[in-house]
Amino acid sequence: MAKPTLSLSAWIGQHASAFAGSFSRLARRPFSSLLSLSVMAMALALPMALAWSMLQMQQLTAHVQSSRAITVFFQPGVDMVRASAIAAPFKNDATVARMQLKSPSEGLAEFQQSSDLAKAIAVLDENPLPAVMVVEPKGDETALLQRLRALPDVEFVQYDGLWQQRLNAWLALGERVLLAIAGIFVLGAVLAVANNVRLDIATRVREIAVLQQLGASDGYIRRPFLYTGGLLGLLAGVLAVALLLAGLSFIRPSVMALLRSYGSDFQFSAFPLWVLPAIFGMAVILGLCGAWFAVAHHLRQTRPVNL
Amino acid sequence: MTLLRFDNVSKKYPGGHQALDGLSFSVQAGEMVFITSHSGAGKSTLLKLAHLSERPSSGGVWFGGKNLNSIRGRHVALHRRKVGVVHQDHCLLLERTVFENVALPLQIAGCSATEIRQRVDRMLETLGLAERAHYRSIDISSGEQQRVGIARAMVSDPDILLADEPTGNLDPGLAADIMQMLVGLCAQGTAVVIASHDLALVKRMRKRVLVIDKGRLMDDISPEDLADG
Repeated sequence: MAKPTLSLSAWIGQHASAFAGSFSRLARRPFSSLLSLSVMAMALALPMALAWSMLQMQQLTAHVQSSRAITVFFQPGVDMVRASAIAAPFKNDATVARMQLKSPSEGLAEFQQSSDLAKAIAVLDENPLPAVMVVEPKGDETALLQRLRALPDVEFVQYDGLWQQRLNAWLALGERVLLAIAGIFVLGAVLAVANNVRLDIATRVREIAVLQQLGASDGYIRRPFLYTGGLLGLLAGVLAVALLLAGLSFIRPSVMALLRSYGSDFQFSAFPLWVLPAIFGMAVILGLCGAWFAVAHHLRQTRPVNL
Repeated sequence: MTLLRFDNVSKKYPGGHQALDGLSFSVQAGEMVFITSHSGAGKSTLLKLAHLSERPSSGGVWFGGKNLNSIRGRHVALHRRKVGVVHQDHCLLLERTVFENVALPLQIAGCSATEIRQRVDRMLETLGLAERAHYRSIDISSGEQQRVGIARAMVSDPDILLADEPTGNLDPGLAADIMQMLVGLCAQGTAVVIASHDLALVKRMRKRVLVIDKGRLMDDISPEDLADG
């Protein structure tokens, strides 16, 4: 008889057999599989939810604070003539993108429209608001800010970009925390698969030993377990996305109501479909890593010294 | 052509047991050799060294002109595919069918499904197991399991077949048939090394006999010497 050689069809056959075997083994112990699947899905869903939340937060902050406006409040006694005179040089200033001067009456009208205190203001004898100059800087605003603060008859200079800088710092911190949490949960997902595969290996120790005796390579031994890990990863990825979507649809009405109460017309972006292959691919890779880790450990443990 | 050569091989296990002590012999391609000894005298260790399940403590085991000590990593698996092994306890996967067990070496070697089916069917027919092909191995008798183990060792047409008490669980008639089959295998060029303490069988076969005691080669009896008594 001729010595066997590994043809492409045989190679595909080996993989098909390993895949079918892995699938049927998962199906044969549904409780254990479902448990591992759920743990991995939750470990994937949480960082995904955090990442999505961060993305929405970034879009929201960009939405509500796209300008870096500097608001200059004049002292109460400063009339519009004086205010116009002080503001005039900034109209054509190279460091200013736009300048707008608002009279106390214009300010009061705006305030009455956008504030719940309109009724309270209406009972006042006189307008308490000062004249206001709103400046949008062009380029670096640091020098402009100093010049505005040094102007005469100015009560207070409010720089809107400051809180945005602080918010951005918080968002940057959030990203770091998210990465750390995601790392921990991803490790948890890998370990969940590794544990499932380890249990599978424990029930097949004799089979593995026999296959090794017959000349099976490490790759041949590893293959069905890798399929198990990959399958678990893929199914966990699908379940994680389902959990995420369910969670989002659950909290969306509350968040939207909260945003509306602040007068925001911000809309959540829909879950982007293009990330699904990336999520599923990542989940499969994590499953493969967990399975590889478990099988490699077993092969190391059972290999005689020096072989 | 020398296929297997033990060159002053010693094996001492970590617990201190000296299984082999300066053992030297060689086996030619197509030769049948019996190894007899008391239990624990080193037969199984000898087979393990040839199969690369163990390494010698000293000396060299040569297979097809290559020192097995130099074989590492994935080449260990490739070497084992050239070696058929019949275990005393069968070492079958009991939940799998007879066909699946016999097919294992061919699947590992990467044969096509058609080739596997043809070769396994032929082997099962030869060993009288055709009707048991789709029985689970746990559901057949011990003697049949032994034959399945032999079929599995032979199906991939190995360069050498190492058998540890291959006819231990078989009735005399079937044992004789199996031995004739192994003789036929030798005629095709496969070397067969059989560890057995069934002296009656060994004498009846009139093949070369190595006698081992306490890990040492005590005697190397040729078929002619055996015939002379």
